[in-house]
This record gives sequence, C-alpha cells and structure tokens, in this order.
Amino acid sequence: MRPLERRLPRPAVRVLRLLTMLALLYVFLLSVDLLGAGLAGLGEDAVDALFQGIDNPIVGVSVGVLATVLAQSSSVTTATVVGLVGAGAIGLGDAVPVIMGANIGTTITNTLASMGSIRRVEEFRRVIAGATMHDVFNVLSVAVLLPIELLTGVLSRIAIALSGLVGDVETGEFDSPLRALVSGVTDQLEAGLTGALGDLGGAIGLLVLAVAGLAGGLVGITKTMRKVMAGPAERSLNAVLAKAGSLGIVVGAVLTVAVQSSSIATALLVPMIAAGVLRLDNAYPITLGANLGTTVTALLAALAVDQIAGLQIALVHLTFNVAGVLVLYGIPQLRTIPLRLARGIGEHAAHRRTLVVAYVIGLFYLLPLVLILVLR
Amino acid sequence: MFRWLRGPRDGLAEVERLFVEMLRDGRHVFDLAMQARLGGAAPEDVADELHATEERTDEAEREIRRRVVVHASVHGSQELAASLMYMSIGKDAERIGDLSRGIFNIAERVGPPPPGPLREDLHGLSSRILPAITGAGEALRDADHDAAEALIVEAREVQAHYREQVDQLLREELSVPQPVASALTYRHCGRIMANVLNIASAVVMPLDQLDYPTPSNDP
Repeated sequence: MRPLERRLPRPAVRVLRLLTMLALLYVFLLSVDLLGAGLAGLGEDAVDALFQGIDNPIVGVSVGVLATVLAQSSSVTTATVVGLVGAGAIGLGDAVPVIMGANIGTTITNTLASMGSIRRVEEFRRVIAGATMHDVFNVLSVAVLLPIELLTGVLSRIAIALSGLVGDVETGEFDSPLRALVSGVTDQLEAGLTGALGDLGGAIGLLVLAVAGLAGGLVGITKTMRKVMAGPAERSLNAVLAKAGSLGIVVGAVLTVAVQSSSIATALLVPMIAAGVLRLDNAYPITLGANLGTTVTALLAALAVDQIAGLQIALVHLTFNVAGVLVLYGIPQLRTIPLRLARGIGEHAAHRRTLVVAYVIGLFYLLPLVLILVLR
Repeated sequence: MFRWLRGPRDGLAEVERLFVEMLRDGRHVFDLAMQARLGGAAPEDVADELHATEERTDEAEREIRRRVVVHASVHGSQELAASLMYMSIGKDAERIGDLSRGIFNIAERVGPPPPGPLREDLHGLSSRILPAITGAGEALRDADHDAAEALIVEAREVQAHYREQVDQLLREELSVPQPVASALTYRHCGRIMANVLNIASAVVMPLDQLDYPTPSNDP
C-alpha cells in the first residue's frame, strides 16, 4: 500500500505537514512545561539529590556530553536544560557547562556516520577529518570559553542583558506568549496523574511524559522538516559546494533551524566529504552555521517556561556559539587550527583505523562517565 | 507564500537538464568533427569551438557527479536507482565528446578523404548518428519507451554496418583511400553509437542490465 502522502493531492500534503508540524511543536513545548511541573512535584530535596555535583563545571560539561550522546541529540539536552533552569531545578551558572557539553556530544553523530568508510583508506582519511573538524572546533570552543565564562561570567551577563528586552530580570518573570497555550493542559495532566498515582507517582509520570514528549516531538519535527526541506537543502548545498565563507555559515544555520538538528545537518555533509565533492575547508563554515542554528531549539523551549532563567540559559547557548564562531573563525590566526587538527586526526586515523573506535569510546563515553563518577 | 512547505522538488530534474544539455554539446562536437573529417570545414576553423564544447561536456559530467552525490546525501536511498543511472550514462555522454574529438584528430592529421563512395558512406553514417545523440537524451527526458527502443534498433544497425566496414578494411577487401584513418573513423562512429545505445537502454532496462540491452529483456 502506498504511503498516505503519495495518495493525497499536493496541497493536502502541504496542509497535513503544516498541521503535523504545529502538533509536534505543541507536544515539544508542552513537554518542556511538564518537565517543570514534574520536578516541582518531586520536591526540593529530591531535585537537589538528582542534580548533586552539577555545580562542578567539569561534571556539568561531562553530563552535557553524555546526555547528548545517549539522546543522540543536543536539542533534547538543551531543551531539557531550559526546562530544568526554568523550573528552578538547576541554576543558570550550573547549567552553562551542561549546555557547552551538549555542543561536544552532538558531534558524535558525524563521527559515527564516518565509520561507514572505514574500509576505504583515502575516503576514510577525508571523512574522519570532516567529522572530527566539528569535534575539534566544539572542544576548542569549550576549552577557550568555559574558563572565560567561569572567571568573568561574560556569556551569562550578555544573556541576562538580552533577556531584559523581553522579560523582568529583577522579578525573574517572563510573560511568554505561548505559555498560556500549554499551562492549562499541564495543569489537567498533573491533576489527572496525581489523582491516579499519588503525588510522587504523578510527578514521575509527568517527568516520563516530558522526556518522551521532548525526544518524540523533536524526532518528529526533524523527520517532518527533513522531508519538507530536502529540496531547498539540496539546492543550498549545491550552491555552497565550491564556496567557503559566510554563505556556508548561513546555509548551515538555516538548514539546522529547518530540521531542528545540527547532527542531521552536519551528517548530511559526511557522504559529500567522503566522495570528495565537498572539500574540508568548504564544509567548515557549514558546520559552524549548524552550531548557530541549533540554538533556536533552546530558544523555542524557553517560550514554554515562565521563569526568565529558562530564556537566559537559552540565550547563553546562543551567545556561547556566536562567541565560538567569532573567536575561532573570526580571528584569522585561529581559523585554520580546527582544520589542521582535524586533518592530522584524519592522517593518523587512515593509518590506524582502530584509533577512531578508541577515540569515540574515550571522548564521548568513557571520559565523561569517569569524570562524573570521580568528581561528582 | 508557503513555498517552503512544498516539499522536496526532484533534485534529479536539474541533473536531467544538465544531461540533456550535455548530449546537445556532444552532438555539436560530433557534427564539427565530422565536418572537419569530411571536408565540410577546415579543422583549424572549428578547432577552438570543438575543444571548448568538448571541455564543457567534461565539466558537465563532473557537475552531474557532484549533484548526484549531494542528492544521495540529502535524500538517502530514495531514487538510488536513478542516481546510479545518471552516474553511468553521464560517462556515456562524456565519451561521445571524447570519441568525436578522436575523429577530429584524424581529420587534423590526414584531412578529408577524396570524394567517392567512402566519403558518401561516412556522410550517411554521420547523418544517422547526429539525431540519435540528442534523441537518446529526449527519450530519457520524456521516458519515451518507443523512441528508446527505436534508437536501440538504429544503434545496432549502425554498429553492424561499422563492423562490416572495419572487417572488410582489415581483410583488405575494400579498396579505399586512407584505409587506416577510415577504419579508425568507423570505429569511433561505432563507439559513439554504442554510447547512444547505453543511454537509450537506461530508458527501458533495469539498472543491472544497463549497457546490455537485449530484445527479450523488457522489464
């Protein structure tokens, strides 16, 4: 039997997609609100115990890496963090390293996708360099900007100042236009679950719904938008195939906003780099654009929380990624460092391909896990 | 207003456009080469145009490959067969330009044969090959099975004729001026028609049977 989309006329398919998108977006926003309600239901002591040790920035970064690797989506991590900060479960300062860690964790998708070329040496050299370029850039961004943030709080300060444009920084209130749309449903679900399962059971039920809704909503949005955006994405990528620079950043950002996933956007580049039709230095700005585009998810999530801290952490995500691009790409002397390092990794990986397996397990799983266990 | 919601436009449509354009260029290169070979134009008068057009077909092949890779990267396994087909027939179209340049190289070295049956025969061959080159692209664009089948039959007849001529030249049963140059010219024309046949076969054959069309292989 043919899929529904092929049996319907084109205008109907478009309307169906639009309605699907709106429904998925609603589920996503509702889930962020449910997260806050569920945490409130758990009680302050339980929440403190759950996030114990996260005030250590290294633990925070490690949690961000590991959570993103396990969820295979930095959007899920950052939206969850927005919900947690918006609900007051973790403070803005503690959440910043988690957000930065999510940036590192999201790059695993590329590296895993590049494993498909492991048996073809030349292709593998290119593709591993392409994949690890994103890893290197994001690790360097954290290495440069996390200490600066810890010492000066500059990213948070900019985010707080920006949040003052739409909310009340003094009272911490944020009159989100979309909050009213979800809060009624949250209240009903909360009352229903608490009535059926008790206070603790209801809170856990809300949290399960929230996590499932966040992940499911984002996966649905990504899948739907990937279909919708396939044509424009193909045209944009054809346009920037032989061009480096700011156009690539714009394409990477728009593509990522459209599919709501930097992992998907950058993973699209892997086969092109493998085939040699997209050069590393032309893929580089597209990757940076993906870093910028992915910040929209957290900003969307912030529309579902009523505390301005949720918006502030979403803005930290934005300022961190903008600062990363400005510092590491904007300064010509630093611009080629991620490329050179990635090419070096590609050379080594081509000769000793098992190193890549160790690199993935070490950087994305073992190291964060060990750091969490030791430092928590 | 909601243009962005229209969904994926067939990215291979642009590849198809490039391919049809490439065959038009291939036909032009063949036309110029045969004019030079048969005395319709001096080689030095058409050399620049021929080389520029032939280089354009080379670049078009590379562009088709790049676009197919981008298409496959974005769409995954959707339209995999069509993507692989364009990779295959893009090479065929490029070879038409290549082989035509080979005919031009012969013309540059030995000039046209004197008027007579050989020249007439090559002229007749040229006028059968010229429409077949662009006809293959049009049959593919329009998914015209009948036109593709007709082209396959035509290609087989031309190939049979060139084989017969080359055979006779090898056995020295045919007394013509420029026997080696003539055999090579027939050979190049035959190979060009083989590439046309490969392209036409893409309209009517499954992917694994590309380049090996048989009358009983109707999918």
